Amino acid sequence: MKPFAYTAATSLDQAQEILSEEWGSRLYAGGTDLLTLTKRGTVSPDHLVDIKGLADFRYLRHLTGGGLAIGALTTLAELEANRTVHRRFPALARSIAVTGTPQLRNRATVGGNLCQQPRCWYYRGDFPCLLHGDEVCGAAKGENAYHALFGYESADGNRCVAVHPSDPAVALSALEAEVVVAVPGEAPVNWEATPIDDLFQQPTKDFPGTTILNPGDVVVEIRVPEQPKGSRQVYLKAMDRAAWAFALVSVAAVATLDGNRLADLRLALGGVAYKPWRARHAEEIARGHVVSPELVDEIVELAAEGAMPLGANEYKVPLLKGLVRQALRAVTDESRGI
Amino acid sequence: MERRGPGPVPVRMTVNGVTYELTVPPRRTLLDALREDLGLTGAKRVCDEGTCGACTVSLDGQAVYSCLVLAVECEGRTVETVEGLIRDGELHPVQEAFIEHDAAQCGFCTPGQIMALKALLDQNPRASLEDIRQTVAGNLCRCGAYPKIIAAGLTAAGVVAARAAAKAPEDGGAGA
Ligand SMILES: Cc1cc2nc3c(=O)[nH]c(=O)nc-3n(C[C@H](O)[C@H](O)[C@H](O)COP(=O)(O)OP(=O)(O)OC[C@H]3O[C@@H](n4cnc5c(N)ncnc54)[C@H](O)[C@@H]3O)c2cc1C
Ligand code: FES
Ligand code: FES
Repeated sequence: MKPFAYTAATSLDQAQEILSEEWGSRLYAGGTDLLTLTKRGTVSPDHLVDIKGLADFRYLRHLTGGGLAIGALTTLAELEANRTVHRRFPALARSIAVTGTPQLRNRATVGGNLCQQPRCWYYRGDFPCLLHGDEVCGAAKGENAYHALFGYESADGNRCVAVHPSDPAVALSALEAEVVVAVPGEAPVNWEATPIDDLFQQPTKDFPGTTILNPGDVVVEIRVPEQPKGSRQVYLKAMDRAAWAFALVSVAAVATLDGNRLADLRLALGGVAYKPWRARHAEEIARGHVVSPELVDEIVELAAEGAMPLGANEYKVPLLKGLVRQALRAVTDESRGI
Repeated sequence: MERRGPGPVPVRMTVNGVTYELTVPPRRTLLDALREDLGLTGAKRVCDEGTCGACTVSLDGQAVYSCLVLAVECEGRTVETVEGLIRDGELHPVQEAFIEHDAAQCGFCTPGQIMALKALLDQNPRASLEDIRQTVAGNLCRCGAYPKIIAAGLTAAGVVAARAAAKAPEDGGAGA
């Protein structure tokens, strides 16, 4: 690792001031992603600004109306151990339980998890990558077994085809969570809440970032709204081994049933795009319909609609369909015969 | 706190009950500080990026990968390594159980496995088989000694639970 300075920030203002004014400074939370990148020289910060000590951003609070506000510095282990999370947001609880390992979850913060960098070997190695400032995305026509099916528009190399590695983000997307971003110089009353899907952006040559955040912007809170009464949730993750692996494909589903009818369905897919990928068309078709084997078939097909396999990741399409089918079975009643 | 480094800076931390004042650059990981500055080589450096678990130590009672912690972050904190488990010449129940079950083959993953299990039993003296399995899921054993590691974990859990139960009446004042 290249030498760097270190500041344990004592206030958010102090951290934001350094981060927005000092070139080469970088926000440091649990460090579980940033240190791996720094060791490889993928990023070479001159100054790490550690915000972990800011206890004001480490909390779980009930929102009026029933939702949950999660301070961005809460560790994944703390969330995992929380009973409200288990009881009311089981999809989130599950997505955390299958994130990394206990040692990683003891350190990793939920804010850092959302802002982690892609697990693309072109990016993490010394290969052509838009995030390095290179002209092309090497993975688009290269080794892309773990890459995207959706959202990259064209495999001409002008678009990054990496996927977002976060599991919790996928569950949070299906739960329609929002993230609160603190902008330097803005008073807390002006901090805006953004739907979680909009936190992410697809890197291009001109905008080589994976989130919409500018230097000094800090994710301070995640808000998970109360879910519809009687809704059921699931998070399923396919990995190439049983633990300690990133998702090949994952699915978060939240379903609200009204008798036999699917009053509402939310389906977020992980491991397939630069952000949690909502299967919006499938959700729309499902809404208001009676659960039947035919409907399930249709939802499964629509979830994979528009998938653009890259060459080495075609296997993800049947995997995705199978996982969506399993998820639907879990959130609807098996006795309905699907 | 003020900006520190990039050159060497003083860091005070307690390791295995002894308080040290180290002088390390901010880029030094806790793992390297333990191994190079303190000569504690129990925590192993294998992948150096969170993918093996051989560097597992306890930081304020929690199992962490010391390769993904900076030494400067440990100012005022308490670290425990496998070297610190022995008490008055007696091994920790997890260590005893590893010997009893012959739970090491090459032994390279062993200190990490032991520290992960020790942290689990400190937090949860009544750990179940599933808790043990989940815990060692963060420690790669490329020799494949898991069946014996898990058996050792269960034996150690039994010992720790029995000790906790024996102690409980005293604590509750209801034992006499
Ligand atoms: C071996 C391994 C396996 C893993 N497996 C999984 C997995 O299965 N699923 C999964 O989801 N993740 C997985 N991860 C990733 C892990 O969850 C992330 O590294 C972790 O959540 C990042 O959090 P952190 O607090 O350590 O972030 P840091 O490493 O401190 O920061 C990560 C990035 O986010 C930025 N950042 C941090 N906090 C904020 C904030 N509040 N606002 C704005 N920017 C911020 C930092 O500047 C940095 O660029 C794995 C990691 C490793 C090393
Ligand atoms: S050396 Fe730290 S996890 Fe491998
Ligand atoms: S005993 Fe050899 S790696 Fe576990």
